[in-house]
Amino acid sequence: MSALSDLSMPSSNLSEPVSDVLLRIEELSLHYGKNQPPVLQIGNLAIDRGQTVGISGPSGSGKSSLLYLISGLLKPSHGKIIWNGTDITTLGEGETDRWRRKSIGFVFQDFHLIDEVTPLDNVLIPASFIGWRINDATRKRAHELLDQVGVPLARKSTSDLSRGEQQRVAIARALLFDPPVILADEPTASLDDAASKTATETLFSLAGSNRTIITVSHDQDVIDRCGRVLRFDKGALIDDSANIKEKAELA
Amino acid sequence: MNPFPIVMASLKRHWIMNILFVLLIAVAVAIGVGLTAQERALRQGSAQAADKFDILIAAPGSQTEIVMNSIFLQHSAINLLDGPYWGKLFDDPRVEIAAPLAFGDSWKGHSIVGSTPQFVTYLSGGLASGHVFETIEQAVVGAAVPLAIGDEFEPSHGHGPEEVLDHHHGAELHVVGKMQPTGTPWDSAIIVAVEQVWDLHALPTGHHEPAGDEHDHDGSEAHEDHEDHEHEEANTHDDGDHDHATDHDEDAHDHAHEHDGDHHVTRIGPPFDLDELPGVPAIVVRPKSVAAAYTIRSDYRTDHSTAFFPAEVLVEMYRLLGNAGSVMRAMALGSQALVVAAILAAILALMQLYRKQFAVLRALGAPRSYVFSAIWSYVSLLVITGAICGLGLGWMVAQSVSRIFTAETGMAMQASLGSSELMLAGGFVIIGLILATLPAFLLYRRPVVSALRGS
Ligand SMILES: Nc1ncnc2c1ncn2[C@@H]1O[C@H](COP(=O)(O)OP(=O)(O)OP(=O)(O)O)[C@@H](O)[C@H]1O
Ligand SMILES: [Mg+2]
Repeated sequence: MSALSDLSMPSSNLSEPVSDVLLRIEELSLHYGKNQPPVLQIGNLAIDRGQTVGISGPSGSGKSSLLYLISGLLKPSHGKIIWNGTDITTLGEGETDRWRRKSIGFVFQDFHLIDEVTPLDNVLIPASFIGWRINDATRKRAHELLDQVGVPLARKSTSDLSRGEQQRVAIARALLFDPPVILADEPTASLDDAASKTATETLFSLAGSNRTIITVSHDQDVIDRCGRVLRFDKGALIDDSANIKEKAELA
Repeated sequence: MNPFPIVMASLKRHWIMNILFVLLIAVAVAIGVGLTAQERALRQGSAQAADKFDILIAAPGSQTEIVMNSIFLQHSAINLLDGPYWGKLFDDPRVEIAAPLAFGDSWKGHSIVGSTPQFVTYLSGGLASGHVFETIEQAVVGAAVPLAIGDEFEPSHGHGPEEVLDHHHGAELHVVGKMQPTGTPWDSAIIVAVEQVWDLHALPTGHHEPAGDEHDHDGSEAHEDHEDHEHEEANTHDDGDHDHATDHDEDAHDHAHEHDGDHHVTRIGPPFDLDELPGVPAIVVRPKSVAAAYTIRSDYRTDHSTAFFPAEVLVEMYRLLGNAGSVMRAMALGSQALVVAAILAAILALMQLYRKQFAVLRALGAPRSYVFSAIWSYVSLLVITGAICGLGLGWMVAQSVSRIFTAETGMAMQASLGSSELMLAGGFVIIGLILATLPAFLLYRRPVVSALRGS
């Protein structure tokens, strides 16, 4: 890749025409301990609304840390994380929680569903953060989402779902409040090939054109579905490229 | 917010442990509740038992023992107050009712007490059925005595294990009246004319009777009795040197029938003739006024007699009971503290299992307060459920202990849940709710990201 030297400078993607920046990261660094090398260091990074971004890199390169930082779960040592014009590092904890609930849908490698409640109630869990009662519109949306991810309402036992089904329920849960952003950390790593494919399909098809998806993955299928791929190594962004496959399709 | 989906899931996830927690809490609360309920029931029951016994007059001795004998019918050997000292009570204008109490005999474990017809009416507040005894062969039974009007029975000497079946006095008594339930140990007592007890023990019977009766007393049984008891207390448990020959009972029966024919005791109840009056273990006095109560008490506090208000003795007994109670309560409190500590430790360990779940919820947008209230509600629910079960359990235990106690003593004890038990359980709940903030706060403070990374 001839552009490698160019891409090693993160600012390079600013030279492209940026129509609608959703997330801008400026001079971000995360340290654990004074004398430790930074776990993550990013000079400048912008992600557009509606972009699908794949993040890859070896273990310990800081991929998960990036997701935690941009979701406000982790405060950076330095730098700004500007979502839609708001630097979330300046928000208080309560504001950050509220913002995250509305803006971010999280999907984990190990689903993290609650086995003791039904799949439907798992999808509805984020609604319990807000009010005592769940309104009909939210309930209706949960029904629709379950339908869309292909888990029948009749299934009452979450622990008896297949792993693929469980991850799809988790995706439905992430979409309950229709957040503009989905963050996923190795969403298919705990699934077999067939289940990975349906989960990936569910993730990207449900996301639609308006939603931004940022997913950490080693899964080539997932990476292939992303319009942009960021590669990290030792906490540094070493490659930022439009997906080759997508490029080829565009050409 | 509504943390209950998470609370319910947590309850379900470790349900065995949760049931164990609830049981532990319930037992801890039940111990405290049972103790206080039982203690109060005992106080109320004994106060009720002493209600009709305004003043007791007896020979000098332990007041507690006199109370135990005359109010609770727990018999032991006590000194007798000689006739001349108590006989004048009947002429005392300050006295409304005076009644001698003579113990010593029993029937199938039921105390037979000799007293006066007036006392029976006074104690029972009017009979439930029948009439008071009019001769020395007649008896009135307490509400809990399994004898009906018209039944006959033969008293035996002594009580319980010392009550020898074939050691009868040889007198057949007829039930002529049944008392109303009084809720006191007297419900299981049989009351006869005090003259009957004296006569059985061959003592003077309190009344000048026509001369020459002594010759009728020629039966061997009567002589034996006479020797045994003439200079003895009527309430001793002394078995004497009775000859328990197999045909002895037959003799006794014959003798009793002989008595029926020409009995020499013709009068019962006051007025008594002072010079014919034997000693008795205790005299119950109902004074006409409060002032009279105090003057009677001081008048009979002499070298030969003691007089006191049983209520005061009970107060002293309650004080001792209270001391024992507070020791037990302290122990109950200690066990409760142990239970709380054990449960708290277990929940803290359990919370380690939950930390990832709560980190995930935070990532999904739950505020910290959601985590706090979920854990707090979970622990609080265990504590409240346990305390409610404990109240019920304590009540049930107190109920059955009271029932056993009532069955054994005849003293009505009604264990109930009063304000002190509710306060005890409430206090436990409040402490539980406060302590529940500890695990809640620990997880509340837990960094989300490290919990998310951790497996
Ligand atoms: N609390 C911490 N203290 C010190 N170092 C930490 C701490 N948390 C994470 N790290 C380090 O930060 C680095 C980045 O971790 P991160 O989880 O972001 O990696 P990753 O790219 O997601 O790896 P993987 O592919 O294995 O999930 C790792 O080297 C890790 O050891
Ligand atoms: Mg990771």
